[in-house]
Amino acid sequence: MTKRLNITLPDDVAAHLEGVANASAYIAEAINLRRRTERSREMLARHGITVTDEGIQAAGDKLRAAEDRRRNRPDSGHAA
Amino acid sequence: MTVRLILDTSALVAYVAADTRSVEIGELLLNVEENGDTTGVPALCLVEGYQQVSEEQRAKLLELVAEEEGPAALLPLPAADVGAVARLALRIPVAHAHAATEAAKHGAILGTYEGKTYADSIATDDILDL
Repeated sequence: MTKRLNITLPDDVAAHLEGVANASAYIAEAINLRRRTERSREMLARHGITVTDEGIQAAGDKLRAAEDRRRNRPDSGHAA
Repeated sequence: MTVRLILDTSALVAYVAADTRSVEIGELLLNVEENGDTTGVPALCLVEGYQQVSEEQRAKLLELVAEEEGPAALLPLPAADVGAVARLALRIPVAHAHAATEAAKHGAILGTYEGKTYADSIATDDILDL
């Protein structure tokens, strides 16, 4: 089941969507991801865990650094 | 959905510890999810962690992996992987063996507070020392 909507978007977002093959699916996927993360934040709060956007960003930096180290090791096939 | 991060028993116990480590794990879970990926929880690690925590904490561990679209996915031990896990478990604890096997299988980083206990069963670059 789908519903047709008229929505207003900032110019830069609208410009980005113009380059997307299926804008409806793209928007739906983004909203679903947002809903998932909101539910996850609620669960963490129920578990007594207070996160911050800065902390989430820092956690991502740490994980990416580990992935970069792995990517750059000699036997990875991706080393420079 | 790509499994980008594996959490072992030590990380799961930390998640429910109600201290700064809980926040560290929670923020990792959210970052992975916000990037459209997921975090894998090997079943044997969940079972082992379940043994180590309080009843209240056990409920949190189960809820963490309960939702199909939650921040973490429970990774079963399928028949095809039993041999690999069993071989590794000759050298390291069985839950560690499941975690290392899942990390290799998914090409994921293994998040742990016990990196040294994995010895040479997984490349050190595959480990995120928490």
